Amino acid sequence: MHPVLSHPHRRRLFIILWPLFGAGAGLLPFWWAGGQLGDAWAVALWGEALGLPVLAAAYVCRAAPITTSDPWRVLVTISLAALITAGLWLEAGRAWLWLVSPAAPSPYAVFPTMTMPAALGAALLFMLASAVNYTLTAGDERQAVAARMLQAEIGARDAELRALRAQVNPHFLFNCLHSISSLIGSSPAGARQMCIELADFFRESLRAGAQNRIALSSEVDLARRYLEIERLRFGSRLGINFQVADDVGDIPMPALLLQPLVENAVRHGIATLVDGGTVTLEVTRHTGRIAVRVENPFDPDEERHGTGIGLKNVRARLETTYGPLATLHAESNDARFTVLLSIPLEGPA
Amino acid sequence: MTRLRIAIVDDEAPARQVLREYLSADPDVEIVAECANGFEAVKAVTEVHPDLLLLDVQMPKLNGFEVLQLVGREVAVVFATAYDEYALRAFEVHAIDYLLKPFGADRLHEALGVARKRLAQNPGGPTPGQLTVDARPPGAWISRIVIRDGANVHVVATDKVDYIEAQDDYVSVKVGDRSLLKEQPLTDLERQLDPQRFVRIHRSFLMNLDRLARLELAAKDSRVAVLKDGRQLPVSRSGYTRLKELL
Repeated sequence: MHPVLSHPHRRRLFIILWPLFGAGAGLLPFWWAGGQLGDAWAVALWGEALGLPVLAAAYVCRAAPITTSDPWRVLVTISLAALITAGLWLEAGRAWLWLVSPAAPSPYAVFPTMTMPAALGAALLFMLASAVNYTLTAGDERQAVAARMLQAEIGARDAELRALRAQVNPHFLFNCLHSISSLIGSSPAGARQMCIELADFFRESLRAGAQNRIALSSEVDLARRYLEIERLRFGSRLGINFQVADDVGDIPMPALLLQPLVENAVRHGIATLVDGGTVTLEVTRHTGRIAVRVENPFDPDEERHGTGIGLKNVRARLETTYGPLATLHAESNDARFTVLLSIPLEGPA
Repeated sequence: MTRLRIAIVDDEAPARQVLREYLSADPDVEIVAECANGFEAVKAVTEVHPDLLLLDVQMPKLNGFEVLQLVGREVAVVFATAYDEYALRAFEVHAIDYLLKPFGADRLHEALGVARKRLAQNPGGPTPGQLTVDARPPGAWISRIVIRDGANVHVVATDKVDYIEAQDDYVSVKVGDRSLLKEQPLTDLERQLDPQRFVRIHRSFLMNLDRLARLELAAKDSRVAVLKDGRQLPVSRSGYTRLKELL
C-alpha cells in the first residue's frame, strides 16, 4: 500500500502539485546559473523526472519505520537515500541535457554552475517527501489500529451475547420453574425465596454481560448464586466449596467466565452421580496471573459427557480478550474433572 | 375401578414432591414407590410391580430410556422432563405420554387418563412386539449396555465387551470371564453399537474389533477369529467380507 498512490484522493493532489515542484527543482537552479529562458523546457522536463524517486521515498520510509526504528537509523537512511537520489538525478540530468544540447545548448553549458543548488533542492524535496510519507503512514496506521480495536470489541460483545444465551440455559430455567411449582405446594416461602434468587441471578448475569470487565468477586458471586439455585434442586447431592484468595476480589476479569464452568460441573458432573458430590472453585494469585481451578467428580460410565460447548465458549472468550496470554486446560482422570484457567493480571477494576 | 399403582422416578427431590402433591388429590391412584435414580426404578418394578412409571429422562447411572428398555415390558411409562428434544423418541418407544416440566396437575391427570385407558385395553402392559426399544441418543452409538438381572442392573461400557453371542431370544454379553444375559435380539443390539467397532462376524456372533488378535484358516473357506485372550469365534463367509472391509 503506497501512502499516496493507493489513495485516489492523495494521488489526485500529487498529480496537481508535483508539476510545480518538479519544474521548480529544475528551473530554480537554472535561472540562478543564468541559463537562457528559451531552453527552460529541457530543464523543466528533467525536474519532473525527480517525481519518480520522490514517490519511491515511500519504500525507503517503509524500510525504516519511524515508530519502531532508532531515530538515528531513520535519519541516516533518509539522508543517504536523499544523497543517492540527488546524485543519480544529477547524472541523469547531465546525460539528458547533453543529449538535447543541439536544440537547447544553454543548460548543458551552465550545468557545472547549477550542480550544487540542484543537488540541494533534490535532496530537500526527497526529505520533504519522506516527512510527508511518515505523517501519512502514521495516520493510516492509527486508523487501522482503531478499526482493529473496534473489530475486537464487536467480537467480544458478540461472544458475550453468545455466552449469555448459552448461559441462560432454557433447561436450567425449566427445571427451576418446576422446582418452584413444587415448592408452591409444600413451602410457599421457599418458592418465593427461589423466585427471588432466580431473578437476582438473571439480573446479575445480564448486568455482567453488558460489561467488558467485572470485578473477580462479582464473578465468583455469580457462580455461587448459580450453584445455590441448583442446590435447591439437587439438595444434599450438591456440595459447594469455594476457596478464593483474599487479595483478588478487586481484580478485573471478563464477565461470565466462571458461571459456565460451574454449570458444566453440575450438569456433566454432579447430576450424573447418585450420591452427588462437591463442586470446588479455587482462585489463587500468582505473579502476574490469576489461576482458577474448577473441579468436580463425575461418573466415567455416564453417556452424558458434555458436548464441550460451554468450554468452547469460554475458550473463545479468552481468545478474543487475551489472545495467547490466557490458557484453559481441562482434564479428567479418576472420575474427577478439572478445569484450570489462567489469565493475566490487569489493573484494579 | 382399581387404583392405579404408580412409581415416581426422578433424581430431584422437588420434582418428586410436586408429583406426590398432584397425585395426592386423586383418590384412584396409589404411590407404591419413589425412586431417586434408574437403579431404584428397576428394583421397584421388580419388587412392587407398579402399573405406571412417572419417569424422568436425565438421571444418574441409568437414564429414563435405559430404564424403559429394561422394564418397559412390565410397566407403562409416562416421561416427565424439561427437555423437549426427547419427545419424538419417547413416542417411538411407546411411552404413554410425555410431560414437559414444569407441568400442572391437569396435564398430569390427562396423562393418567390415557394410561388408564391403555392399561384397561392391554392389562399386561405393552406387548413385546410393540417394544423395540432403542436406548440410543439420536445420531449416536451407545457407549454402554444395560443388563437387568432380577432387581439388579449391570451397566457395561461397550469397550469392555469382548463379544456378544446370540442365544435364542437372548444375547450373552461376554465381558472377560463373565457372561451377562440380556433379553434382546442380536440384530437389535448390533444396530445400536458402533459398526466400526462391533462386527457381525457370524449369524450368532458380534465381535469387538479391538479384541481380535488374528484370523486363522480352519478349513478350506472357513475361518476362525482368535481373540487376544485366545478364545476362538467362528467367522462366516459374509462375516469375513465385513471384517475385510474394516481391516
